[in-house]
Amino acid sequence: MRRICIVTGLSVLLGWPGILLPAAGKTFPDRDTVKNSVSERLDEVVVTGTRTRKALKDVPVVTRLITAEEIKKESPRSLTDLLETELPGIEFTRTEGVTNSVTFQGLGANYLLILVDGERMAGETQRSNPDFNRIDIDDVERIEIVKGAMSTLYGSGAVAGVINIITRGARKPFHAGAQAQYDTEGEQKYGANIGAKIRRDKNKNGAEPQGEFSVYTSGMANIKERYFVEGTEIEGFKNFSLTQKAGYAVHDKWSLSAKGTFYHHERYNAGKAGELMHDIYRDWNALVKGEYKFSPRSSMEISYNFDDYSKYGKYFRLRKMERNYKDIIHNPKVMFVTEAIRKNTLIAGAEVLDESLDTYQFRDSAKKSAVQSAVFVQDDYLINNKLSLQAGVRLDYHNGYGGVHVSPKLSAMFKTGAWTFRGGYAAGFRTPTLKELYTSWDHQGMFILAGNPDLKPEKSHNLQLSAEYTRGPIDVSLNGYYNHIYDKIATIWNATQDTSFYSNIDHANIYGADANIRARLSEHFTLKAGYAYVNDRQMVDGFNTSATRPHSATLRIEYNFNAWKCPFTVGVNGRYLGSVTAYSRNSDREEFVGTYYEGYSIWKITCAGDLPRGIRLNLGVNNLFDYKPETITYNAGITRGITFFAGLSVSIDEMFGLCKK
Amino acid sequence: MSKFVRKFAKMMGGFRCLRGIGEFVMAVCIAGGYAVFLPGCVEYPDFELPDGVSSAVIDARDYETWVYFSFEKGGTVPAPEDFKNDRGWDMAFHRWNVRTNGGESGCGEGGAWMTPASGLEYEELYKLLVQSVKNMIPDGTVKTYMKVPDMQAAGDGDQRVEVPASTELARWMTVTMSTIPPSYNLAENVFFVRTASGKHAAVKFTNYMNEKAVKGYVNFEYIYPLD
Repeated sequence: MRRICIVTGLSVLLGWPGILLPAAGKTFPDRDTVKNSVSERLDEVVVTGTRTRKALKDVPVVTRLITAEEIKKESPRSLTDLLETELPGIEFTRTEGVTNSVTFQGLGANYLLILVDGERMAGETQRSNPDFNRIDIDDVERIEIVKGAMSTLYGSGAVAGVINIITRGARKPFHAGAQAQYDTEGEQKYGANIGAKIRRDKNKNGAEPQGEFSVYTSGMANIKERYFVEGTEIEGFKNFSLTQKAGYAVHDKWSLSAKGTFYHHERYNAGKAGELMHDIYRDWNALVKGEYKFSPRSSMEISYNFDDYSKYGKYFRLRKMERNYKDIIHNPKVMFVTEAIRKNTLIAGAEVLDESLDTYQFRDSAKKSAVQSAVFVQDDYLINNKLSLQAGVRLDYHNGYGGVHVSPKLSAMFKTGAWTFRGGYAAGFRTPTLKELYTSWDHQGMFILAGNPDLKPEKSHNLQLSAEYTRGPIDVSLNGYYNHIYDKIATIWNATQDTSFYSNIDHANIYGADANIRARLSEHFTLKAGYAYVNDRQMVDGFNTSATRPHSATLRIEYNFNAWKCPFTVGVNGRYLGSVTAYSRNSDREEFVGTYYEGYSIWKITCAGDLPRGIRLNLGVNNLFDYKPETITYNAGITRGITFFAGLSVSIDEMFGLCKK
Repeated sequence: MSKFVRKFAKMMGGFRCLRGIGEFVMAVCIAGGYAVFLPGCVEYPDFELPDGVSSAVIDARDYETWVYFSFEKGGTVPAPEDFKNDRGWDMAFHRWNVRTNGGESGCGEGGAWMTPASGLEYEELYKLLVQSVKNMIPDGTVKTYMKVPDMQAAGDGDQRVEVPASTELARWMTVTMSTIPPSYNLAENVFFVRTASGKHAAVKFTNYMNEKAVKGYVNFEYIYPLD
């Protein structure tokens, strides 16, 4: 087996020179520019809110951007770490299994669409969360977070918002780098990447079309052994991912790109199970995209996303792996964008989402599938310099519940002086998952959890209103929202109380507000702070059954300075989560018992420095004040006390002065 | 000739975009290489029992039946018609309950004792057995579910019944139901088990799951005979 691994490694290494040789001697301007000031930041181009390229300040929906520069300075340990640091109102809690569970603005993973490079992820693990370990934070270029329902453009699941994680690709004629990270909990992380971007210029007689070829490989491995804290076992894992990208563009006319990712995660299961088996999680992802420009103002994009997420048991005594879960999505899409009509940006598209799931929790372990087809259209109409309107509609057809589901949207943006106001209405929906439709799981003879093939989608009305004030180095935004979710899917018991099945019986009203400030206080100091309030009180007989924490806040103070002529950043991050008491019926199902989840704050300090010759150093302390939850529940903070970490990364091209402009 | 070369060069120039596509295909092929080879990299730990140590895995999931085991046969034996008057078995298992063939459970000389030792080492255990042979405790009774518990009827009285079993061997497993999921703790200690015919075995319980981590299987390693 080891030999096979080596052969793979060699084939990759040997493949690379073949691609690079024609690149010798060509240079290409480095597009990485440092963007510090608030106004430059608002010129950053984002894609998620409108599915077209637009400057952040011109996007008519509330969009939060985490730039490459911010990611670099904050030295996050993982995607979840970064999101928690940046967004008040997001919370990750522990679940049994591979991944953490997310809630955002009072809504769980079912209602939050997480995309990678604009594409859905297969998986639907515990509580419908995607497997967050799939994302290598060192390979993330930027993250765009759009708040509010986005079902018109993205379909099912985009109820609370969309988080679009955009991964890195080739950026220079040649670049390569490697990084290593270690922490005192025993986690080690290693990564490497290599990329090339080659431009073919016109030849002397100008006959040859101009083209650009790019290729990028990145890989990551992290390992953590299991360990014990006060008698409680903390599971370890082995995580591995590899991404290969290639792109080819001709003449700004058409372009072609492909991406393939392999992910492998081995969970070192706790306790006695861990002596017999490990859970394995694997994913194969392929994305092919083509874009054709009819004219400078009109283009068409065709893409195909394939994602295969499987779970296996790796049984030591049987010396074999057995697959027990397989979730596959096929998602072809076609989209047409035109600015040919004056003052309008019109997009129209169609997509098919074909999902199949094979799990032991279905009757006879049969494979179940669903096909959803959709067409959507959206127009962005710039009435004058101050006011723009956006209207769109999406029609979905699901082969299971049939009928056409309509998701309209209407929003407006008004700019005056330093103020920008955004607001509107959007309909959201969530298709019942295959588990909710088809589960037939006998809980050790005690009761059966049954799916319901007659389920309809959950629907929501979302109202959003925001105000943003930008002047000089200060950017302040206030955002309020209201979500009414109806036909909500919940489990109910049958008359004989031996079967619990899913039904569209529930509803929820969730509203909240958040405030964010970003200010460059002086040449050296930058402040970022956020506060979020959410009211998700799910009242049953006068008792709140929701464990959503109403108050949360984040703070980051950043100090930038030069030492030995090298730029350094020291950042202090704080994160506060308020307390909540959630009630549930006791085991006799008679009276309500409250569970109190304490409020807590977690602080972190990081230092990042760019040393000469492409060397970069990160040092940090997580959970600075050594917070430990009093009781370990699913809703307690995911922390084991104070942790120190250190990281080193090296850029080979900068080290040897290659490809400088 | 030179004209031809120039023409050829020009033509090739026109095809240079194809070279780009070639490179693109090549890059995609590298990705294909991963697809073929990567999943092969899986390693398994080795399991080897020391000399003189045997092991057994008993499927004890059924609420309604007991599974009988004989050290002499080195495995399970068919359930006797009248277990109390049958000397053909040494231990029996039902969920986490264990019987020996003695006391309330059988007509044999069975009994058990939890030793302070934790390792299955013959020399040490033999010495211990010589000192502690009189400590063997014959079976008494325990309360357990002999039917699938009816969760809906919870609170309508205790559904457990009193059955003959070893109270000493009951110490091999502590289940805490108040946590979600329930937590299972195994005793680290080696148990001495006296067989129906009065011989002795050293038994160490190692797990409560089968090789696929399905709960309800009693795993133990043992040295027999220890005498």
